[in-house]
Amino acid sequence: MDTSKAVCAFPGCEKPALSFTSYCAEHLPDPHRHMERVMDYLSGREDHSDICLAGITISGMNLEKHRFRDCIFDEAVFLDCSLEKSMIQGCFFSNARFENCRFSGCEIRYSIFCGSDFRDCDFQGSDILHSNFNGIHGLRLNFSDSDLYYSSFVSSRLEEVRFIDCNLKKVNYLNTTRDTVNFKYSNYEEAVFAAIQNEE
Amino acid sequence: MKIFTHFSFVSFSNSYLVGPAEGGDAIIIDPGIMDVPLLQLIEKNSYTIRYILITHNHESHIRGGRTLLKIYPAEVFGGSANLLDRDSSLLKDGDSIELGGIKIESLQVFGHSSDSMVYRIGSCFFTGDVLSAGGIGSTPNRYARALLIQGIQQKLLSFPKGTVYPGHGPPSTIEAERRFNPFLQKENE
Repeated sequence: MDTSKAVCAFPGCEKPALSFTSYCAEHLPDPHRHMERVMDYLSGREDHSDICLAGITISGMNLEKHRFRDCIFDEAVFLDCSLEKSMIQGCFFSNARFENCRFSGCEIRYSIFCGSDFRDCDFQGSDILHSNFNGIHGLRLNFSDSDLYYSSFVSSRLEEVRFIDCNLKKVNYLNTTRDTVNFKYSNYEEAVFAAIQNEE
Repeated sequence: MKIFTHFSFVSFSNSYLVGPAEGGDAIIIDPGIMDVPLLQLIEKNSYTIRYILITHNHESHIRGGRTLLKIYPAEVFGGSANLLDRDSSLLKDGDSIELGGIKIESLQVFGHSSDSMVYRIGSCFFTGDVLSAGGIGSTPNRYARALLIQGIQQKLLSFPKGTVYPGHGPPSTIEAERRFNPFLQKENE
């Protein structure tokens, strides 16, 4: 990731400035105009790197086959969006909210979703590698047919979540609350459920 | 500054390539393996490895270092005076150094090993085995474990925010570890 991020121009604010403006989401002088620019940008290209859209709301957008690298979407809200077959690498989605979003066929690597809220989302047939879902609340999610190698769900609350026929090698479910979670046909023996310490 | 992650399938560990966005002199943190994909990552981004930082002297974090040193004339830094079969620059707790224009602070956190270092570059924390996403390093006894947890809480979680780049597993944030890491919650109670 590129670590050189500008901070919000509002006096005293230390949040990162959003892309296409000098302010963070809280201090945007004209949120509607900024949202229009964001929509134009996202719909006009498929490759996105080093953009910061923390705290914004994206609704009903088709982002299929888009590629996101090193982007910041902390505290963002995604409603009814399609990210099918998209590539998400090194991105930050901490404390974000996803409702009715489709990630099928996605490739997600080294990304952080800590503390996020997922409802009615479909990740079927995805490669979700080395990604951090610690502390999420997941309701009605489908990860079936996915490779989740070395991803982590520590301290998360999972309800009606399907991990059917997944690769769960080194996936960490320590301290999770699980209600109606299905691991059928998956190698859950290779996942971590009890407190063990690092191997090295 | 750019950070690239490279995963070693041999030791299941992460190596980090840190350098200027435009290329030039770069740093490798924990060369767990030196393979063709890492070489391509270095060369494709026009980097020359000048510095190797070791978080601790365990094989899974240094295995690739000897090969790396045959390719690049790098200086080695860490919490031991001898690393990768050569004299290295010994760092102590709180030391600040500047390597290739990148400012690095070393934070010593005991417990997992006697030479465990966390390297802070701005708001990025390269934690080795000290802290991982939802986990802490293995320890030989309860005293070492208490020391490790105390070190994490005092030296890492005291920062309001930051990104955690661990030696194993996915990246995390300081805030997420403070809120969701079960090993650190118990001690807070």
